[in-house]
Amino acid sequence: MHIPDGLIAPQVYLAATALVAPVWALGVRRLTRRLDERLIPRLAVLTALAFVLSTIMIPLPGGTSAHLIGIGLLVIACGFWAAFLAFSLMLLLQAVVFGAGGITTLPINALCMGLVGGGVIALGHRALIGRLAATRWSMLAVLLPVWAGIAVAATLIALVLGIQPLLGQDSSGQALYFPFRTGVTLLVIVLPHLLIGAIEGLLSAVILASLPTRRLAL
Amino acid sequence: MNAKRDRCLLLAWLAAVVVISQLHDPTLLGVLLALILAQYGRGLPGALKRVLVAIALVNITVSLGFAIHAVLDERPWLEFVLRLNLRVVVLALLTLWASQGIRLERALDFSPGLQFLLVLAQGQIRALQRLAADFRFGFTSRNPVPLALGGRMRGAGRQAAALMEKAELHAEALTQGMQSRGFFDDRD
Repeated sequence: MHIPDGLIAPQVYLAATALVAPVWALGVRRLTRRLDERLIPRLAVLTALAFVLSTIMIPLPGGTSAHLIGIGLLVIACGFWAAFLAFSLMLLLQAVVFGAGGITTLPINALCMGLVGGGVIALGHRALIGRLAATRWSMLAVLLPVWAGIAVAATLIALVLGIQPLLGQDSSGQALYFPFRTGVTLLVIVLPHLLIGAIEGLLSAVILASLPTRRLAL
Repeated sequence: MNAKRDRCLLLAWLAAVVVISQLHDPTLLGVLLALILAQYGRGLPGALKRVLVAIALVNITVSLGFAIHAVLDERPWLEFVLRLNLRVVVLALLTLWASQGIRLERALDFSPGLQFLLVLAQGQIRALQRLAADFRFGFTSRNPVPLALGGRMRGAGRQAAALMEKAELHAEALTQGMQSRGFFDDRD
């Protein structure tokens, strides 16, 4: 999510870095153990795909639009670990090379959207695909997990933002970082993402159904 | 030598981000902003435009929301709005400077695999961005009248599907290209 640097307290983004760093290491270990020379080119292409997918605008009712997050497509088409690493690398490139994202929000986005959101999508898809694959409801095996993953990720980010006023106040009681509490952030961030998640879930299901192969899986 | 310089700059930038995100005095942040603006020289208008476009939506929403809420509650709001906006602009300008001044792939030369991954990913981003732009132009030129929600959804879906197909082909071509040039032999 587009949270600029300076809105999040250091104790939060440093804690998020400490939490997500071992998972990055685990992901790299898992992929390098299983994979040979295909790893680097495929991970590079996946990272680029994650980056460009996030520039595709999805229309919302009322004439407005939001951009695709893309984590659902990546997780289901390419597997959780590859998607998580590609998504994290994409965030790094966005921040450091293209100057289009906060570096302090990188670990928070990687944790909430890549790890937890991606994990919910992977587990949900695995749970549903066996039951729904051969039925006319098979699209739900993509739509529901993607919607749930985005909803959970948005809720976590709303909570992270909502606790900022508790982490720092000046002598007059004013917030030092993001000023609104969870009552506001949950409403403002989660509600729109319930709709965005549903549309992205539907779009992901249609795209995956139309793809003849899924060779990108690592 | 250059790699060492890039690594030092990268670490200095990360340290500066952590330090600046703990500064709360608007005067101090204002002085820092003036120093950073002075560093940009002739490139200042372009840099400011890019930074303001990136942060405007979030900052205006948060600042306005806070100010209205504070006025209604008869609480002070100016210091918070100044502090927040100055800090965000300082950090955004600093990050833009880092993105222009630091060659990340050179800073990571201690890991050839990671270095290669970053170079390839950047090249692929450009290639897929071009494809996405072509797709958007084509979509716009074929639909002079704005489409309804369903039509725009189908357009976005086909664009994403085309990108995924192209990415598959690129991955295969890259692997074969690297194999044929002996990249993996050198690494054994």
